[in-house]
Amino acid sequence: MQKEQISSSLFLFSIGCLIQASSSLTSFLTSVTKQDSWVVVIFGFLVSLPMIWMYTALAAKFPGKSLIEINDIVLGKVFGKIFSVFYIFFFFSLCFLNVNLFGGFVGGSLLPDTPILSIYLLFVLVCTWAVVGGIEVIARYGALFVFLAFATVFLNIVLSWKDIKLINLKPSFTLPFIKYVQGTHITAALPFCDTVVFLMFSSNLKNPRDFGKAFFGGLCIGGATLLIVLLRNIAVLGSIVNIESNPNYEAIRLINVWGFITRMESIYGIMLIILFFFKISILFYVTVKAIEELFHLHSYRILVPSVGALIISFSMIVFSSSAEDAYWGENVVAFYSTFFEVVLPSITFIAAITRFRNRENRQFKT
Amino acid sequence: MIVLVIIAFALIAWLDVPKLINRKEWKDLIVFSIFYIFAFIIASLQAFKVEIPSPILGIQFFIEKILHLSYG
Repeated sequence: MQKEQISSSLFLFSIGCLIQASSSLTSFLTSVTKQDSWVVVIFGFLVSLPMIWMYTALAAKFPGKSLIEINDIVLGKVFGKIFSVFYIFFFFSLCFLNVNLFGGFVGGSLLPDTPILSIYLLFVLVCTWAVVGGIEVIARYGALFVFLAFATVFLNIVLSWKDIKLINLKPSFTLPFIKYVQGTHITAALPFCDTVVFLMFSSNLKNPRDFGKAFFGGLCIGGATLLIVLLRNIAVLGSIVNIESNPNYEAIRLINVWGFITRMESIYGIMLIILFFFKISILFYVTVKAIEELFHLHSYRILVPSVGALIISFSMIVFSSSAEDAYWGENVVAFYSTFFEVVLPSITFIAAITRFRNRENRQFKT
Repeated sequence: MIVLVIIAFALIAWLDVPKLINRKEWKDLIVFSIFYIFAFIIASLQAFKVEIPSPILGIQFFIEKILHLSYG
């Protein structure tokens, strides 16, 4: 089957957009590190850099190969397949966790009287449509959404300028050390190292040599957006930032310019839905694509409706309350993600450099 | 509710299965069937309001109680 191809710039914007879509996850962070959350984003970014370097090194060592193919080459048929099954479960779990988060936002803030099943159903149907279109279609959306997200953030900062008080960033560095460790772990694992999913696209890049540059570029775009959004939220909300379930939404709700520019949160809501659409489409695509490569199927498209139905079903049962969701996000998810984003890739990476060290050409070619 | 589930899954089968059989893609048909049947069972159980345990809460139990890893 002919492989879909995307340019390096689209790849870069896709990574940036995926991290921007995680801006809704900052509530997990602000509830832990409060006003110091912006510092933790910088720490998280720095801590994730070695992991990102490892992902790009793996992709550079096996140009034109996706994560599933790399597993097979490096770890052999049996262990490679076991690792791939773990990754597929991880990608799938990210899908239904994010759909659940999306449902929590839309059902809680925008459409409180609408049955949650209909929200999930319509949303996953739209994502299904994008996934059937393929990565070329989804990545093209990504470039557009990155600029839209930047424009929305910029507009909201300008409009909330009078509410921004830098004194709200204080008190600084007064929390116990473990809170900074926890916050850094959450930030590194959730938005930044979630980009491990893009190892599935290393075979789709028109120029595989640009994989590393595009990866770091996307990471910087996403990281900068997260930092700006968090600084704005803290500067506007101050000490109550840690008790809000969605600090972005609450900070934008306060916008009131001369009494007639108000209710800007609806624009933010639309933007967040768009970003969620992109993120879940990418995760959904990666899940079905990984299954296709694992079983060497002719096309991933036959799996899309069934996996879509499973995503809806699991989104319905994953958490019975928002408190469970918050507990998972603040205390457990970082350890869960670390296994798939650090432990498994590290084993693959060490096996790759050990097994292929003596080759004259350090790049593996078939 | 169960009627809607049956209609939705019948539609999925009607769209995909004939194509796979015509092209004699038997491996694809087997993998498709595994996911299709699994999805149908889960959706039907939910339609009958059977309580299905969350896999994430199981993982959370494993991480917290067996591995003793948690910030909580």
